[in-house]
Amino acid sequence: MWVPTGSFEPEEIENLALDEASFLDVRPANVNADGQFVFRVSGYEGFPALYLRRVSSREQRFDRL
Amino acid sequence: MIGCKSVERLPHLLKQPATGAKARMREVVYTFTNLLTTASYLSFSDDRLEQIERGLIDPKKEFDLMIRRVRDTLPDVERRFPYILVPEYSKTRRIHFHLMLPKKFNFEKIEENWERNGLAQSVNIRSEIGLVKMGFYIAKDFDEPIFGRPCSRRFFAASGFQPKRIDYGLMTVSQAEKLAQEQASRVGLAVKEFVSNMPWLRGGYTWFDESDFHEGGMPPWAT
Repeated sequence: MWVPTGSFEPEEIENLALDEASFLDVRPANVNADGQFVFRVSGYEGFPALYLRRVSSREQRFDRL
Repeated sequence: MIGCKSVERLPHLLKQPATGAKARMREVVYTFTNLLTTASYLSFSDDRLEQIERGLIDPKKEFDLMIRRVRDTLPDVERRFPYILVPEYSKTRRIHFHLMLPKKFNFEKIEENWERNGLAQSVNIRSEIGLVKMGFYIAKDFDEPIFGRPCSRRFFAASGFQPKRIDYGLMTVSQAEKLAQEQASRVGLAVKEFVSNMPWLRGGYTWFDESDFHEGGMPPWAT
């Protein structure tokens, strides 16, 4: 059970420094630079089909976008 | 459980996908890319089923023995051939095998060597889409739980004929559609989109020849 201790002071929130610019730069791995969802596309040699697999949003592979 | 003991004894050999859907996709692609158009059905006689139930024979070992005997009768260049075997229970819990073999395979050799176990029947699939339908048909029990299947493994495929997977990388839906259209236009076919309910798969695009759709040539046991 959460017990209020009174240790939090309201002014702390005012002093809290968040680097908003870098925070907004972090985008999920399944979204490209244009804001569109990306999928891992695969197929098999000689089989007439392409499969679009979902990519985890936590997959940090920006270099491959 | 009546089934294939050899696999149950060797759990480290279980390399099958954890889900029926993934196994089904691999089986369909293997069947299609290797053009396994000879669809066959291998059943066991009552005597043989009784022996299986009493643990005197292993159905998978009987199949391996049969294939080895068939191979021994073939010339050296034809000894290695792709095949896919799906063990299955019928509605009355009789174990049987679905076996897909290459086009124009000399099925008489299978019949001769399977005679001691039961009956072997075959039908030739005449079209691409028929082959895909047959692939899906023999995989109909892949979603059964492990104790509802005769063997732990859903299918057994001849090694050395695995279809080569191509990774096109990460793409948006429109990029993937464009790629599919490019590939389909090379063979003069139209692209068809499909969606999937599987959490890992959004869906994709196919380009089968639609005119073949009604000429699938499905065997009598698959209708």
